[in-house]
Amino acid sequence: MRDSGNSRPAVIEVERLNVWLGRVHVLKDIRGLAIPKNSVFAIMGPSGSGKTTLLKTFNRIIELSKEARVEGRVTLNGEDIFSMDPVVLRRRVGMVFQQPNPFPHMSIYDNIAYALRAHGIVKDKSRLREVVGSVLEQVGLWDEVKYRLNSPAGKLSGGQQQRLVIARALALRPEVLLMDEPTSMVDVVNATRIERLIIELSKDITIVLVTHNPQQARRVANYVAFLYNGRLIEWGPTEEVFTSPSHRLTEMYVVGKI
Amino acid sequence: MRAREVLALSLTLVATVLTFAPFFWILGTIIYKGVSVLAKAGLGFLLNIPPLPGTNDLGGIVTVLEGSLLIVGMATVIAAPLSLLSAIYIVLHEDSLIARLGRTLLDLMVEFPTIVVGISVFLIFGLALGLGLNALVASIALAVIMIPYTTIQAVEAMRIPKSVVYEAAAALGLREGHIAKILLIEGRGGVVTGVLVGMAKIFGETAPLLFTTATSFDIFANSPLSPVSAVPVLIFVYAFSPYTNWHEVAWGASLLLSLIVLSIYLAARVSLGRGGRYA
Repeated sequence: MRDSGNSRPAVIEVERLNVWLGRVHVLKDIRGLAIPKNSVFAIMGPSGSGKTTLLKTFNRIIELSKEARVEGRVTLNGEDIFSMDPVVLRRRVGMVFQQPNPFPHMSIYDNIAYALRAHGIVKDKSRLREVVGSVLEQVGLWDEVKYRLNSPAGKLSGGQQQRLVIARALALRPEVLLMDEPTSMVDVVNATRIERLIIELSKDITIVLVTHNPQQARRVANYVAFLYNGRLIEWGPTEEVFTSPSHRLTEMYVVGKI
Repeated sequence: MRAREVLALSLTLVATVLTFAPFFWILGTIIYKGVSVLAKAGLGFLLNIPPLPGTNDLGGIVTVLEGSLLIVGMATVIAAPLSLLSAIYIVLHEDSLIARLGRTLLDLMVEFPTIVVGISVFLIFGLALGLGLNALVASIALAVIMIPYTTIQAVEAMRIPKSVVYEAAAALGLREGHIAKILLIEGRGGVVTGVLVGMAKIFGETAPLLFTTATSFDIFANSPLSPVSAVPVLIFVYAFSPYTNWHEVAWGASLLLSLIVLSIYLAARVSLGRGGRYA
């Protein structure tokens, strides 16, 4: 495995990780993976390579699947995530899914405010309004929705919904934000906005981005990992992996041959 | 169009007409017989007590209407929270043995003879526990009948949103109680519909009330422990009486009961529409 060549400390570290979904061995002995703090870390690979499964392991949302079996060690700032309360872990490690999934009949405002209230993070109403406004500004949605905060979130366009769910995740101030192909279901304009946002956000938090698009990984990521058939083929700084991949499979992938 | 297709289309069309014909025939008869009674009795039909034997006036159905409203209201207060809480459990733990057993039991309860519910509630609550015949016992019988209807509808109302929002809510670190609240918000149209459908179902129920209500139709229920009567029981008793004016009251009460039930169903449809739909 290529060394990152960077002094940033690792936020997430993975050792000997194996994941099964039913009888299918989806992730096979992932080891030596260290995601540097305040970076955009892209996980790329062809369909079925285990990208989303790896991402869903980082906040243990994979365990919602009754069929899932996980072995190995994953740490968040040195703490074993499998020893943590998953509820606490998921507050620290937020997630944005491929399909925009706001709570459609809840208002735009409550989509963000609900979890803040539920976790008791913000109780004061005026402070809550400030936080909601601030995260909506952060994702560039405030000007579009400021006069209709009480409208159902389901009435927003797909791109707006995706930015809303990013705002919803950011409101909890996560240390890491997992993003599973966040631009694949939105139009080009919104995709560009989200890519810019990802780069901006990485100044404060660590972004782990799953993408099926190597060009997107190259545009936004500081580091990339290449998965193939459930195995981690290699990872390292983006330019190094793209310009001088150490494995033939990686080379074939980045030039579009697999 | 080929002859066989024309024949098949005609058969299905005739079957469809035959399916709905009895409903419209019943509704038409009730309207035909009932409207003249309501016109003759006027507002007094809602304000006066039912006629006594040997009198010729129409009177009204105020006491039984009050009784029906009271026991349906009390049954809803008992059934709605139980239904919602059990629906939440079934939706959140749908793979568990209890949830799967619960779903099967709900289907069975819907088909269960309501007269058996009536006699069982009478034996347990009226006789064994010594509560006697009163509004509380009648509403317990109605609640038992209402619960499966409301629960099944509430489960369906929350099951579809669950597939969309559960993972998102869990990814925010929300605990089950907060996820359940989101499911209730997202499925509220269907949940309210479930309560209304359950109310409509029990408003017209007669069999369980034959064991749990009084047949003195001229008394008001003053409290949950007072004897009570209900519109369907009055219709049943008056229709089989030898008095012409009682027959007329039964027709008028039938029309009013039908209008109430249809109004509740209409409200249920509107509620479902307002609740929005999940793809």
